[in-house]
Amino acid sequence: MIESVPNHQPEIRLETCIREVSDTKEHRDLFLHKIFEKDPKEGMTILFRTYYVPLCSHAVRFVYSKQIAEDLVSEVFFQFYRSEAYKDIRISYTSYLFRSVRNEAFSYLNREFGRTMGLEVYSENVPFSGQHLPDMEVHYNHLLKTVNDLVAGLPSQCRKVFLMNRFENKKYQEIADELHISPKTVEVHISKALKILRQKLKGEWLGVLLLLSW
Amino acid sequence: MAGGTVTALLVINGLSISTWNDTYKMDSHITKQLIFNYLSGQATPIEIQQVDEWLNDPVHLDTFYEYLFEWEKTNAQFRPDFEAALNRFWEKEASSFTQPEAVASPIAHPEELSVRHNWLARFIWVAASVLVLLGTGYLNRDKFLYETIKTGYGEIAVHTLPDGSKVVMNANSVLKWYRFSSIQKQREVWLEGEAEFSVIHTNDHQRFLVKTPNDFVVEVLGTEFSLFSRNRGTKVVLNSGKIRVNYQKDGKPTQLTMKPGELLTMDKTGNLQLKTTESPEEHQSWRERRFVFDRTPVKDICHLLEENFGVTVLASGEEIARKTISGNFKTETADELLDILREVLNLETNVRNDTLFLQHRSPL
Repeated sequence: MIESVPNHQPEIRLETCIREVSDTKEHRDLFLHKIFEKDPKEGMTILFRTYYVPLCSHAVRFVYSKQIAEDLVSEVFFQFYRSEAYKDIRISYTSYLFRSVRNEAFSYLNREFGRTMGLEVYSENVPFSGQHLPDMEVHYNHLLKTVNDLVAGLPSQCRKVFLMNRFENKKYQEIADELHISPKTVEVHISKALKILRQKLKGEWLGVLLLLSW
Repeated sequence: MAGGTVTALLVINGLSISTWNDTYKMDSHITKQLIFNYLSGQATPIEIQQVDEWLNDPVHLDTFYEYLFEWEKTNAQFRPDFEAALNRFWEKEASSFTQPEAVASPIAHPEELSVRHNWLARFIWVAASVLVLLGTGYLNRDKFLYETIKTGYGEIAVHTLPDGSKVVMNANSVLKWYRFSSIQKQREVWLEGEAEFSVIHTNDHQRFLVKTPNDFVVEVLGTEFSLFSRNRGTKVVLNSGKIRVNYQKDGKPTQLTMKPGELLTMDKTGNLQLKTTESPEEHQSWRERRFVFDRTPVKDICHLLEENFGVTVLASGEEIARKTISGNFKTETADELLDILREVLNLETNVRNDTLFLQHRSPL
């Protein structure tokens, strides 16, 4: 028991440190900045602890899949570390990470739901380059609401099946067993949900694409 | 149209530590509760309109994201295991360290999101880095000795140097200066990339020197000029005032004085050319995100795409590389410029290994 104490001490101290400074973002950012200067690996650990769950939660509101949300967020963290972006960061980590996750979620949705609408030409050419238009925040927020309303507006059984398959990553057969319906019915529900999403999101893309290509 | 974008960008660039306190202060009518309602879809149309307008001012973005963070913390849709995610992260990091090509290649991790690795995806990363403009040193040793400013691909930034001189930096450029310049007798900055300087005259007649990686030094007294220094060569255009250029010729230091309206170019091999330019403003067209071409070969435009946007573009064959374009094009992005190439020269692009190849349009 006594021997294990020194091992745990630094861990505990960092935790309390985070808790203490997290009241104001200025302090949290300065703290993270210092940690990253000293030990980027430690910095990443703290970033995961602080931001992983909220970022995944935010991503899932766009992509409606736990798996994809986690993949997107992990990729953001990975690029952040690999490109050593933490060395240059002079503004809020919160803004940086959330903004990156939103960009990723948006381009994911664009590929996933824009492609079948014959928009691949556009999606390849979207000038998604250096600039981040300020309007994008508003568009992302509206997109968030649109996706939310669309899923909420699905017929209840259809929504249930869709969430089980997509959000919880369950297989058709599992869902069929659980709801006592045939796998064929599961498939019909899911393709119906996806069709609605594609149709309704098309207008949303066009709005964003127009904004980007003016 | 596009001018508005540039301005907004510069505002974002301007966000730095010193503005944090200001940005955290709120417009009185936009409260945390209102943002929470907005996020959870419970705001009225009037409130939504108000928040949207508020968000269009980049100054408010940090506050918005701070609220978003807090909202997600208290309204998490699910609770993934961050420890497991962290472990996967280190595993991936370790494997990418031993085989770096495994990460760069889109087929190396088929189970991952395969969509990540095209060159557009890289752009999205650049989009995120708009936030990270005022970077410190790019070498650790330099970090202490030098103050450094950098622009990413597609970004233009205006900066005031410690002495009050102004510099407008083009995309993908690095400018640094000695941190302890107050003990120096002259002002010195180092440039890699492209920038326009507007130098002010100091009371004690301090010299202002701009140095480039290839031993090329521009010496100034109260002047406006622009300097281009990238891998493929160096270029100086003088608007007003007088500058002296020091360079190496056959290993010997050599001097040359430039008058307004003159254009000096030096290619990779060190060949120097001084000529008078009728339109010095053409060389500063990048300031307005404008490209001025005058029988400019495709080969040179490929260089511009790489330097300004980080996109590798190659002409398939000498014939295409030698085709030329003339005109004055306002483009914000690599894609707009590529569209011009495609349309004017009737070409198409193919992506292979992160490189875009320009080729003749197939008959179909």
